[in-house]
Amino acid sequence: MKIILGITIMILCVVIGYFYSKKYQERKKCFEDFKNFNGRVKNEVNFSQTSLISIVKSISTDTAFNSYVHGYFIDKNDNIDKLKFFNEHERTFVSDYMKNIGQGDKNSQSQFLESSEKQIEKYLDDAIEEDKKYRPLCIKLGFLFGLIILIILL
Amino acid sequence: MKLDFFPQRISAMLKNCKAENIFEIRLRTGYPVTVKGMDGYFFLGRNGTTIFRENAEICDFPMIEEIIGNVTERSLYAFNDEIKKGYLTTSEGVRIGLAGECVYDSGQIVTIKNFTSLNIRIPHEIPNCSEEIYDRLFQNDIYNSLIIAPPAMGKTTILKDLICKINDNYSKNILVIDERDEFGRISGKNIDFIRRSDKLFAFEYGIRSMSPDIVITDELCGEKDWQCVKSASDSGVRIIASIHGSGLEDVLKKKFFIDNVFDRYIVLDNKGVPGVLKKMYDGELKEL
Repeated sequence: MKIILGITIMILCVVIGYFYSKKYQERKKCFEDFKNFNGRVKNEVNFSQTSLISIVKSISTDTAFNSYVHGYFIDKNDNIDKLKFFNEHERTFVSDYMKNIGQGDKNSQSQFLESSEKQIEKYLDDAIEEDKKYRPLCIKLGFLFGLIILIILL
Repeated sequence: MKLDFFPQRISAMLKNCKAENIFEIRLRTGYPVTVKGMDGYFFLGRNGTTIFRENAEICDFPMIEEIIGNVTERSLYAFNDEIKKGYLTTSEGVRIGLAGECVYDSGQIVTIKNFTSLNIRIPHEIPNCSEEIYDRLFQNDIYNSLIIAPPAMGKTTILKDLICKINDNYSKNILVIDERDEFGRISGKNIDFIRRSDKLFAFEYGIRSMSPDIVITDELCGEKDWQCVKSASDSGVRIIASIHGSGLEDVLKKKFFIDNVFDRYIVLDNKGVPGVLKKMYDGELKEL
């Protein structure tokens, strides 16, 4: 009975660790979407000059970042809380980015998007690093914690 | 006419005005929003137009920013060629004149920023407003014609109506060079459009590729425009165009004026009702 209970607790701890670790994955996904969005706008500004609204309408809203962008431009609702895995500094960067995007001629926008791309890549690299480091760690810690409980129970 | 680019509260106020009586809406930062109707300028207030300044809606910077943002779909970069020339045109053909801070680079204007005033001109379709001109001039043949009137006196409205009449009554290919996309969405069996292009390119490319019999264009305003018209006329294409001026003498004074291009000069009455003829001259400048 104790073994069954211990194993159940251990599995539960691993699952908790897994779900806790998902925030690193989500964070990474957000920055990937941010980078893709910035790249898409950069291309449109430099070549076909499609408007931002048309670009935003053409992207899916199934991820946190895309949903935030959609809300910002289409519903005119700056709900930065949607980006819950971003820290304060990153949220400020996103807010400033949103305020400045589209506001200027082709050259100034190209420069703005170019410099933003560098910053986004830096954030993305950090997010990838964190994801690599902490996601397995969370699962391992969950497993370890469950194992300790199992040993105590036995 | 869709005016959905206005902030909600301005749209609500405009709903209380008769749309057909609005010709122009002016916004100046820090001052009341004004509306030009049949009888002159009024302030825009909660219940529509008002003569009382205290009831008027005051324009502020965010209001102007919101309008520009809505018209450009938050994409100034896509409209910069127009912005540089001091205007924006909405998809409905509403022309918005811009005033703000010009940005220069190496002596060339790069853009305009920090907009402080907007002049929104609401186009109107006035069926048959060109009837008198058409009956007197174009009944039997198409002459190279220049329509002369001060700004906002209905030149474009008349040209639009003339395009439809010529399209209905002649079997000739009409090329409309619509530099500012102000002609709206008129169409017809003989009509081709070149939109948002400068006249130099549009005349050259349009005549070569579309082989028009008649070219109709708005607002000749510089030496290059006149050269285009002259060159098209020399190629045997008929031209109907418009120009700013309160009379023929204003046009003759312009340093870029070229003689022997137009066969008819049509001076419009400047009382604000489109299509009323004031005077008409032939190519030798004799009054008809």
